[in-house]
Amino acid sequence: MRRSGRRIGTAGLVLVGAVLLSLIVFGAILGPGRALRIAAASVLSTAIDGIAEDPGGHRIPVIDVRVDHAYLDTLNADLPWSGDHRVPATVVHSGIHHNVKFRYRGAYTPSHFLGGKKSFRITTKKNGPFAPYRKLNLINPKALNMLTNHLGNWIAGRMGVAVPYNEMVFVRMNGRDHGVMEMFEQIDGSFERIRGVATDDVPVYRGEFPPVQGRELPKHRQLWRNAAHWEYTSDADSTLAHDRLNALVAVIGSATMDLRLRRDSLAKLIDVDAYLRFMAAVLVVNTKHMDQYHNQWLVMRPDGRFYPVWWDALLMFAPKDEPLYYIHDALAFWILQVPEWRLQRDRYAYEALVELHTAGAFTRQLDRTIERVQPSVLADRNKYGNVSLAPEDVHRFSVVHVIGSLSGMRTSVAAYWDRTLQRLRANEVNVVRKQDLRITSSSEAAIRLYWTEGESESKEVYVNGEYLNPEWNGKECTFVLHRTVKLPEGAWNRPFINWEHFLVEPLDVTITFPRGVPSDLRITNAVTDEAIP
Amino acid sequence: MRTESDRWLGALFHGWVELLTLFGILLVALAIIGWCYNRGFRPAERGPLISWPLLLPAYGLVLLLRHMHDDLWSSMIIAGGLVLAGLLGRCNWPRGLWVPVMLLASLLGLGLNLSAIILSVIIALVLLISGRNR
Repeated sequence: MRRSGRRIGTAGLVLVGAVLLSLIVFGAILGPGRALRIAAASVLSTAIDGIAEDPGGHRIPVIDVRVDHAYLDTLNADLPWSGDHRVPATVVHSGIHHNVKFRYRGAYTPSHFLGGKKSFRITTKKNGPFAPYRKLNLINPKALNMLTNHLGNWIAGRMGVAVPYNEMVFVRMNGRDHGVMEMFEQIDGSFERIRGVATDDVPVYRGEFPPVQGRELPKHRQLWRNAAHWEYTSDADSTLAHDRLNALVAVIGSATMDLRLRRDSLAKLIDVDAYLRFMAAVLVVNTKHMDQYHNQWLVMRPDGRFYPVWWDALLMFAPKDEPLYYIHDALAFWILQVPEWRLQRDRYAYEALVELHTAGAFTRQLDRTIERVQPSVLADRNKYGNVSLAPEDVHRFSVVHVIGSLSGMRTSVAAYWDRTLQRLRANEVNVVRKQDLRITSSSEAAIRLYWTEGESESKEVYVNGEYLNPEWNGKECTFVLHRTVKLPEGAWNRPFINWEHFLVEPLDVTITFPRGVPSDLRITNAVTDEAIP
Repeated sequence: MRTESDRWLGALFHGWVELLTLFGILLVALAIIGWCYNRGFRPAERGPLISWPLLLPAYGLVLLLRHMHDDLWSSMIIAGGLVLAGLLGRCNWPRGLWVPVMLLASLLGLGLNLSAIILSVIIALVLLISGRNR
């Protein structure tokens, strides 16, 4: 008994020594935080994921891709630079073998090409398995919960933003599970034709990082600096589109144009409503993943105005300081300075938040999506993603990470939407009625005033001494006290600033009604239409 | 350079911890089984809690199966492991445990952790119940 005890003791000491040695060596080289995260991912994926042995049948589409091993080996040997090489492959769909082209993709994001679940693109023939879509990206989901992009896309689509086709799928490659991936339509000139909006291809521009040439990542460039930074990706005639894009770039880049002229010029070049919805979705999704450099698309309508397409905007990839008026690009820099556009954007955002958050539409959609992907996530033993903040730490992670990340997303979305709703609803407004009306406010929303024309017998109003002609909405006279926005102290006052935001200045106005303050004057929050007492 | 070396180091560390985890799981399972097995003997006749000659081939089987993704090869490795365990189990301590432990290792190697847990529990219960017969 004593002998056996000694044996176990020695062996145990050897084992503990090995564990400690590995932790010390790797911990010292990688840093304790990273080492701990990698170790946790390894332990959990090895020990826990195997417990779900029979998670049931897939409830999401299963895509069976077959690529010759020799081709795959060649491509794998030179990633990410082999990303532009296309090789023949087969997709088996409903028992039919479709010939497709296959290529890896994503040279900039390590989770696309490191690890065991590499992102790729397939290009099918005209009547391929995913018709009407011909080019489809199969992306290793970026977040550990696998759903941030998918749900961000869903939110934007629900808010009336043009979005690409997006579906969660389970991929099998050469007979082995490749795992849960996100299938994205690759946008091109057929974007409107596919959706039945146009009969032919339309001009489409892609705003991305510069294409990789050679074996180095090129320097980033700001898209709105030059029309040539936008890549034309359509077979439609580009003559008019290029002219319009050049004009748009000139309006955005002009340092001398006054706001009114710039507003009117922009209104002729972009679909303002589409952009306001887009920017409202940026606020709701709380993302900074579409920026001055990438993840942008421009589609030109038949009337020559451009509208954006939502792309790769990760839910809760939050800009710093949680701004209400985040400037995601140079165009947003100007749009957010036009008071009536800013108000309309806020109204779209508020409307969406009420539906998504207060009425619970997002939670229902999240629950439905989780229910759909659950068996596939449990079956996926090839979950690869960033397990630490270091981009190169793309390792296999566990279903425990998925659950934790989903729970974190649910909580952070709810908390962020609560705060944003509160900011849009806030009515910290002080109204003093004497001979004039003095309104001060420390909250951020614009304020609307209403009164009946008959009582004041005049539509004449002066705000801080300046004449203002109110609107007549058929029943009442009304006007909006828009808020003044400014850049934070020290920020560069140019459209090409990166990841900056506008702050709302406190309001302090004196409103003069020449015939006295109307007795039936109503004051409301212009975003929510709620009465201000 | 930093990114390149980090990439390798991170992957090495992840793989190393995976191997340790598998070893740890097998070790714990064998310790429980060994303890239950020893309950059937008088204190003076009891052997070590963990049999290293049993643990090492079992761990080898786990590693082989983890890296074998071909069904045919996996089947052949499991069959070979069981035959070997049957032969070794006839004359080596702990008799009667070699085949169940190799089955346990096969399940772990195939990533069927739940089955491995259930099998361990059943082995432990059977050993506890049938202790007096040994």
